[in-house]
Amino acid sequence: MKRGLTPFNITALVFGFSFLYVPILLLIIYSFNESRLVTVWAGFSTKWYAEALSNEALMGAAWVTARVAFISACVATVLGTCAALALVRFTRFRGRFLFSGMIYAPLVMPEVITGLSLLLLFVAVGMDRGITTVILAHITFSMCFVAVVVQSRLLSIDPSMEEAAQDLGATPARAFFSVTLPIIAPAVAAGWMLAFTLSLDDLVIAQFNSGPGATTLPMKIFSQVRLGVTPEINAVCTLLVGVVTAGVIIASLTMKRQEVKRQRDLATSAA
Amino acid sequence: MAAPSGPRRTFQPWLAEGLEGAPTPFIEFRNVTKLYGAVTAVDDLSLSIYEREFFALLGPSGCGKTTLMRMLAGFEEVSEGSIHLEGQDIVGVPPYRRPVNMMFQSYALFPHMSVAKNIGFGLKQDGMAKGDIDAKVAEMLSLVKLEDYGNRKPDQLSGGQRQRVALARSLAKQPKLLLLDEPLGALDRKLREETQFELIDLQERLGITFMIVTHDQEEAMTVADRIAVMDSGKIVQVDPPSVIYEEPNSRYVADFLGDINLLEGKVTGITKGIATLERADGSVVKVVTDKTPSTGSTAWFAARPEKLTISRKKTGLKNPLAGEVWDIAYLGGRTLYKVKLDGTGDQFVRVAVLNSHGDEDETLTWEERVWIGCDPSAARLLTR
Amino acid sequence: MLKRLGKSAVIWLPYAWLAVFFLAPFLLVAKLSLSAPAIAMPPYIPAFDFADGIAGWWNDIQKFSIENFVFLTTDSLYWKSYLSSLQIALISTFLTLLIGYPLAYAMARAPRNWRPLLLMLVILPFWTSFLIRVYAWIGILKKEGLLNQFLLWLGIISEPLTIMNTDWAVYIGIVYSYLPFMILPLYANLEKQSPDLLEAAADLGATRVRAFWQVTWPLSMSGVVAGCLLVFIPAVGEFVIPSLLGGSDTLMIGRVLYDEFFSNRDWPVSSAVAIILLLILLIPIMLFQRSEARAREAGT
Repeated sequence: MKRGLTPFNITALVFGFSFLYVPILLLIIYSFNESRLVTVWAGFSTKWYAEALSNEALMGAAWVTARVAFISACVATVLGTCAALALVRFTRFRGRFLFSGMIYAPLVMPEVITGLSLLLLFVAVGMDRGITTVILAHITFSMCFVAVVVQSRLLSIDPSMEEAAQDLGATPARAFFSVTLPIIAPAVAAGWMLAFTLSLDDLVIAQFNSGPGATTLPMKIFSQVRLGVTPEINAVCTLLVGVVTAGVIIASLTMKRQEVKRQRDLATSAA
Repeated sequence: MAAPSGPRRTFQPWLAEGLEGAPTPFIEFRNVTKLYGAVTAVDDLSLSIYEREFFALLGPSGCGKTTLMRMLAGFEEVSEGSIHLEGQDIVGVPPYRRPVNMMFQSYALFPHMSVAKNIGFGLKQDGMAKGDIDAKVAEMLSLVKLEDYGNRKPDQLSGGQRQRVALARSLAKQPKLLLLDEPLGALDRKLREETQFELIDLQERLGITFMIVTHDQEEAMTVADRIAVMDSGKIVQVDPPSVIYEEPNSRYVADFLGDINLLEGKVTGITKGIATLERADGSVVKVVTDKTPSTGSTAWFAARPEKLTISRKKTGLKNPLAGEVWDIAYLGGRTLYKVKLDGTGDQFVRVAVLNSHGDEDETLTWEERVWIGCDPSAARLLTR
Repeated sequence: MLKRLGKSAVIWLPYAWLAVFFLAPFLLVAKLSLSAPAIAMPPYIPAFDFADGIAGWWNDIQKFSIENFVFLTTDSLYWKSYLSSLQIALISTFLTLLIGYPLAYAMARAPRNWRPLLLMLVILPFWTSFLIRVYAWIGILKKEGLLNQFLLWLGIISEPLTIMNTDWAVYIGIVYSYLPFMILPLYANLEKQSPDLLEAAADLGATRVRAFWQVTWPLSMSGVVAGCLLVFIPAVGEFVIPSLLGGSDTLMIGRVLYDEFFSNRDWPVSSAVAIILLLILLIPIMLFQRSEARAREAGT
């Protein structure tokens, strides 16, 4: 039997990836449209970018979003890494079943429910809604994603690694920081990035938990989009897509380069 | 590794056990039990190991040998009993404070550190000065003949080289006791055999007590001064390799180490140290023994394949038993015959014949009628 | 001692966080769904106060009212929304599987050195904003949008199609947004299947089609289940897609909950809506957790 791609497979790839990418590409192309009518091409222009960048409300929202995403990603990474360690290293402790349930449930929980429930909590304890409540909410759901990413990395490393460090005289804490942490570092970094983009992305949970003066960029975009498609929003969206894409590509290229360097070391040392 | 430092000396401190002026055991397990929930991994086990001994724990997987070793390293807590190292109870001492180092089955080399950093890891934990660490690492690298590999990462090494790094790392702190958990399991056969001799030599030169866990009986026989054979959390027999092989104390040990033929029978009498066994079909075998089983009890006549003789004629054979050649395996240096004995039940015996002549003109063939013989002093009587 | 401290911190820090910010809020939703609405801030009369003590609690519990739940059954808007959400989620999940399976299959059969790139191409949209990806479809689907322009130009249609603000737009939006969630578990599963299996099937006389249905498809079942649950569960409660792409008659419960909460300011009823939604999703969520746990066990 022939291995490799059949015409059917090639069609599936071409069709599938076109479906995934054409809408975003069209969005990007039409952000450079001269006309205010987004769907009628009237020549190349970058004026909508200038307009978007000088729109103070939009830029204010972007700044709020950046701060929220940064802080919540950092805290979520710490908590999520702890949670992953708890799940992998301590297989027996009281309430472990409930714990793992609370880690996996938010991954699929409808956002309206998460958003509503957190809001009720903040109201119940008398906390004013604002940037802090959005950060707390984002930490809560993104830490679970971090936990899952770090957990799969932890599961793939040799458990005797940390034992070996202890056997050689390292206390459990030192063994963790000098052996385990460097090994899982790429997964922790990936977890941070995931938490950051999840927070950058979130609309519904922020909508429920944000208050005056804490309008995030997705909230701003959503309120404008409901009024209709504008080239200005296209420009903002393109910028956002560009930032995230660049981040992801740089991260994977760095990893790739490390891999290539390692391979090269391997080749030279074998020679 | 370095050239062998002369033949091995006689070393049998355990023979003095219980006598006046006997050496104190270096390690002592006193009635140690380990439970995992309802499962008993180690069952009321007592064992003494002496300084400078090369000690092997041998048994099938799940027999508790790894648990025993991990309790010594400090990774498993003892459920009952105590473990003493140089007379001191070490139960409760965390692994990082024990003068014991371990070489892991997976080697557990730190992938993000160079070979030199791996070997120096333990010394760094002790707060040794950097210059001293470098000197010690260089010494260890030359000990395992990896002088030029200090800057490599573990994934840039071959399996054999990794094994050496793991060994060097666990020896760098000059532990009083080195634990080796299936240390050669990942190596291919030829390299494994070479490394076994290197381990023996290293142990002699460094004067460190070695304890190896293995399921490979040949490996245990090659390296160890004494072997403990384990079965379901208990030690069945502790003896030097030759004793374990020649004088197994049970069918379990006899079967686990090497090949054995077992013939079951009832003891009909013992005279002048020779026991007579009557088999189910009425045939009788005699065996020299110092055991005194009661008449009528069940016992086994045990003989290794190389202790049996096979012939077309009955004359001159001791303990003659008739049978038919069932299978023949030509193994180069020797030929193994599988013979189906006459009588009830499918009782087979295996006979090893050395191929000392170039051309065996009298070669036996399939389905040929033969006689099996065995000197009563070459066989053993097993009562359990 | 230090070890115990480290261990308990590692467990209790995330545990306490999730208990406070995930578990406790759910209890609050449950409690509120049993309370009566009020015109105040917050707009409800608490049905239960932790400060009341045991005697007070009993008193509160007796005051619990299932009025909100009764209300949900009397107004057909709610149960119609639940049914329509389930229907939309089911159809979209099926469509996602229909598009995702061939793609995942082709990726798994692609030359080994292409696979990381293809995988990256699937994951990349997942990193870019959900909202933006949904938004991108508005310009394509609306009456004077790019799709209609394109089809008119091709001459396939003479009148612009009305897709925007219909259920079809919602299907497209869900399929598009959740496609990576379907592909990733499927790809992980299919990639692990040895091509030897198909060769063995061919060797034993199966045609390619039969080999697929009798070998590849049954073996990929765990990936299919995981992928479908990953699409179905969030799709049922979806809010952004129906509110941007759907029409006013596209009933989805996430949107109803949102409107009930923000427009009608009826917090107790929206809590009751959330509780029922959660009960509906309980079984799929538990199925998902079980398949996750199983995949993890197999992975170690």
